[in-house]
Amino acid sequence: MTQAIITIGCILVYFAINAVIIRLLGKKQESLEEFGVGNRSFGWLLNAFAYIGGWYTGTIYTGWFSNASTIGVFAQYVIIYSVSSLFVMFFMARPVWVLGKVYGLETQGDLIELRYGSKVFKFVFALLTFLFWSPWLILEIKSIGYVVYAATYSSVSFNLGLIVVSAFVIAYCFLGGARASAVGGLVQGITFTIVGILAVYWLIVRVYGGLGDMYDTVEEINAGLLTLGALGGKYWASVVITCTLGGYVLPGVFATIYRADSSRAVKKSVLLAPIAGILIGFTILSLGLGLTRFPDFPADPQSSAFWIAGKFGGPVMVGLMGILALAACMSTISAVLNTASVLIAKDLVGFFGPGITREKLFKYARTLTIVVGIVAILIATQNIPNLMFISLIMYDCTVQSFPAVFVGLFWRRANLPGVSLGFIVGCVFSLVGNFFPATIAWAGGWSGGMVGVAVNMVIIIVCAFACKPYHRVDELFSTIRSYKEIRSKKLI
Amino acid sequence: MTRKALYGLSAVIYLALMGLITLPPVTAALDRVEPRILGFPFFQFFLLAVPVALAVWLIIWFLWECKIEDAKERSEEKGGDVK
Repeated sequence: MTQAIITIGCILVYFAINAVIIRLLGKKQESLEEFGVGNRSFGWLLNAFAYIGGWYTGTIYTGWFSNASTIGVFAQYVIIYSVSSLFVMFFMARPVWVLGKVYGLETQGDLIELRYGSKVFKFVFALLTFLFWSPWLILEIKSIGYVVYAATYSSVSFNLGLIVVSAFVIAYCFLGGARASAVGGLVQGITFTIVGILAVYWLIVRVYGGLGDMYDTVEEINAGLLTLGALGGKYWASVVITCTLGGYVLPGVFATIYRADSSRAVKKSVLLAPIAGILIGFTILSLGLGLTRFPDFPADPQSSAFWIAGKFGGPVMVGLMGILALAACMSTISAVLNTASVLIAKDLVGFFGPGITREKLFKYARTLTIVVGIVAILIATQNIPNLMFISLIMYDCTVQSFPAVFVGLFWRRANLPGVSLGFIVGCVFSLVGNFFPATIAWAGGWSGGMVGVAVNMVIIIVCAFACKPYHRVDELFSTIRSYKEIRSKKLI
Repeated sequence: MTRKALYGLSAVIYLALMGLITLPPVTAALDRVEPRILGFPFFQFFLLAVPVALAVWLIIWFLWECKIEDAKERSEEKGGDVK
């Protein structure tokens, strides 16, 4: 009981720190632009940590950590695809930010409508990307329940933990919009980046004696954990490529770009994120590598991060591990909630009521923060078998929006018939390939998502040459080319 | 160098590094424990070296692009032609 009181105390103090900083740096929300994209005013440091916070999920301390102990270095694909996605984001930072600024874009759907000139395609695209993305919100809320349960020595129930923590996140997103979400991301991102890396490295030294000793231990117990093993080859390539492309087209990534005060600020944020990402991913997943050597390794490997923290650092370290995992969960949930509420209000509700004023859309977006949050909590409290499997399939479908967005930003000839048909056919391949893998056996080990992307790209290219080029998009390309770069040294 | 050429160079570097860590024949050759490099098992070393190289190139790219933009602006202020 004393141990639980110590960990609960640590977590409560951390919540209080979050609440105070979010309150101090927050602003009263008065418009949709402020609520959705923070009036495009964020400095590079705020944007960097908001991005890091939104990107690194709490599951890295549960699911990914347990994967590291069971499938070894394969789990480190998260490091490769995170940095790879940032590279792709660097490519598109300028065009997306400039178009966002000049044409007042606030969602990914706005960009699609501007580029392809179709409200219907924007609606379908926004609806599907939201549906494909939403299982991750539920997974992350479920992770909160899991983390609280494990970090409090089972004294706080799974459902109570997820309800209380999620309610806290919903409250600050409702009150403070994009800025509160970003400031929360700043506090939480710094926590699991700086404190997290140091704490986890300390545990590596305590458990193994250091990195070199850790590799010796792992080689001794199972050298296969240091290679891709049977999972390697095309499956590894499919996972890395799919996650890279999918990661780049998540609606939250676009919100991060729009929120910065200049395209240069976006790029500067992108410089910090890969370094932080490599260190976070490498330390935490390395710690997990050799844990199966302990005879008392937990039967449920998802709790192994808390088990090892308790074994070598006592209740304070369990509390700290709980804080790190909760910080990662909260920053992701707040980013998804804020983006999703604006997406639903503007791209979905706005489609059925083209005359709705921006003031009303702003009110809808705020209300939707609560509605989406409550619905996600209700679903997360249910027992959903195969939620992880569903989420991975949805990720395969999310990837299908990559050609429409990326190709459209850099190639004038990409057109509506090509991207809409390519998107739908790509999704069909992803779904069929995942539910009936035998149907894509001819692909020789590539996943349904990868086959879908390839077909999607071919359709876009064929349609681009089969149809006349749009001259309407010339204006967009010339806007991007001629926009004078804004100089900004703002941090927050 | 123009911004377009810099983007092209970055795309080539990106594809080369990602190819190294994803192309099945290449990963099959890298997928072993020995010999160790800088204390890291062979595959683990490349798992870290590729993202680190990408992160370093991002920094170089950013600084280079700033330099190009600054030169362009200075040239525009003087009223000269800029490539």
